[in-house]
Amino acid sequence: MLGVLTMAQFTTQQHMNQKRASASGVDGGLLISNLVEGNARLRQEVTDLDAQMASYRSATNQSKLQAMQDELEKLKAFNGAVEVYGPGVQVTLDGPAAVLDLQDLLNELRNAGAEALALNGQRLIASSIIEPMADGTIIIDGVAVYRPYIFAAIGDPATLETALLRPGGLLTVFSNSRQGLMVHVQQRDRLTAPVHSSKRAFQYTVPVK
Amino acid sequence: MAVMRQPLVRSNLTLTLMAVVVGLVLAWQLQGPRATPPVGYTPGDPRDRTVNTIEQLETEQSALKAEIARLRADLSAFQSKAAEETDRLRRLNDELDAQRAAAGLLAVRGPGVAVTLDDSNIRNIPASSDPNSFLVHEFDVRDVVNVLWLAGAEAIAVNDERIVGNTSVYCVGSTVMVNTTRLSPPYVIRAIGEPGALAETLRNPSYLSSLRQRVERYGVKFQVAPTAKMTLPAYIGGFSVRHCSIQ
Repeated sequence: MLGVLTMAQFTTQQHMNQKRASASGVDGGLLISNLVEGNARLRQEVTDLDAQMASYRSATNQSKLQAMQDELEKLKAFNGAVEVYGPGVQVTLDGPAAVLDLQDLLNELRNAGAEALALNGQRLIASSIIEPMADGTIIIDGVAVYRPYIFAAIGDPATLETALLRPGGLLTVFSNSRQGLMVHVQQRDRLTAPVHSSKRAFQYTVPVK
Repeated sequence: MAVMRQPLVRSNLTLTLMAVVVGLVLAWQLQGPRATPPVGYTPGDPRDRTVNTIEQLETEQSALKAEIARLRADLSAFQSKAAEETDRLRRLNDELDAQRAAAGLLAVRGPGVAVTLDDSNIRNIPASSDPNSFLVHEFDVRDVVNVLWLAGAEAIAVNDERIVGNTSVYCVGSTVMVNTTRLSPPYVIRAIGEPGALAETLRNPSYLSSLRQRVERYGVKFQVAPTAKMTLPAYIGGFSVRHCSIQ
């Protein structure tokens, strides 16, 4: 009970200290670093696309085929349409984790730069659903998962770890203010994200070209 | 009592890196040409520099996004042309189109719902109340997105930023960011799918309890409008799978 009260106090304090839409030093600095990093990613994409265009120009049918196959593989990896492996971090969450905690953690992993994600061996894609059943069981895209919750996040291990463990981040909040919730991050050389068994097709959506 | 999630400072950089970046940007600003100070500010007010820097970065962001959109269109046109040459290339091109649509790289249209979230209109906040109760937070936007996927949404955009595999909805201070793009309220979350099913799930009291509570008590806005036809823009941004290998 004391823990709950202390946390409520802390949370209220946090709320009171927040100012909306202010360009104060801290907000501005954080925003700038986010924008700088985001623009760097956009520039990388421009470079990649330029290289792709270059390989198409004055290409034989064989090299066009290769370039298109490379792009297809990249898209399939992004969409969870193929199993992928690579380095990254394993994030273990144990204790009384609720559905919202898992959703927040998934969001945090994407924010940290994860390229492919799996939870207890199930691939997570953009439209993946984490939902609770009446008995408290957690279901991911129709399949039940149980504690401990182990996320595999493929990407640069050091970048992912640093982003996840930064002060004020979700993991810090989990460890400091959520009693009984244990979270652990570990760098790994090789993690696997299996293929997503999606049977969803567009029923209402028409692509505009 | 419902658990109120604490808004977090979400950034994907370390504090050290942030400090370095901000330092560099400020140093560069100091060397740059002097901008005319706006009325009411002391010359050299650090807030001006911060705001200027943010504006410059956002201008650069828009230019880069336009460049990516142009390159993707060129590439797609090139591939369609190549597809005319052989059957194999045509099949590959069809497969590419399908994967692009699934990835969110194509604009899409269809029926669905538009959900509007906005801060409360109440301006005289009692001293005893938490001002944050009157605001829409990044987790509200995220929770609505999650409920929409649950309800069978096929494609989602928030203020015209498409939700794709690497999208995170987070906040920097009090600013909501999606795809590293700064959004301002009202947040309009549009989803394509069966409008009735989407609207019904959004009304289900089992979901969005924190938001519903603040709608009732503090006047936070949460409106759901079924729509017969809407168009969602393509995702324009980077996606890296550099560290992923295929078996």
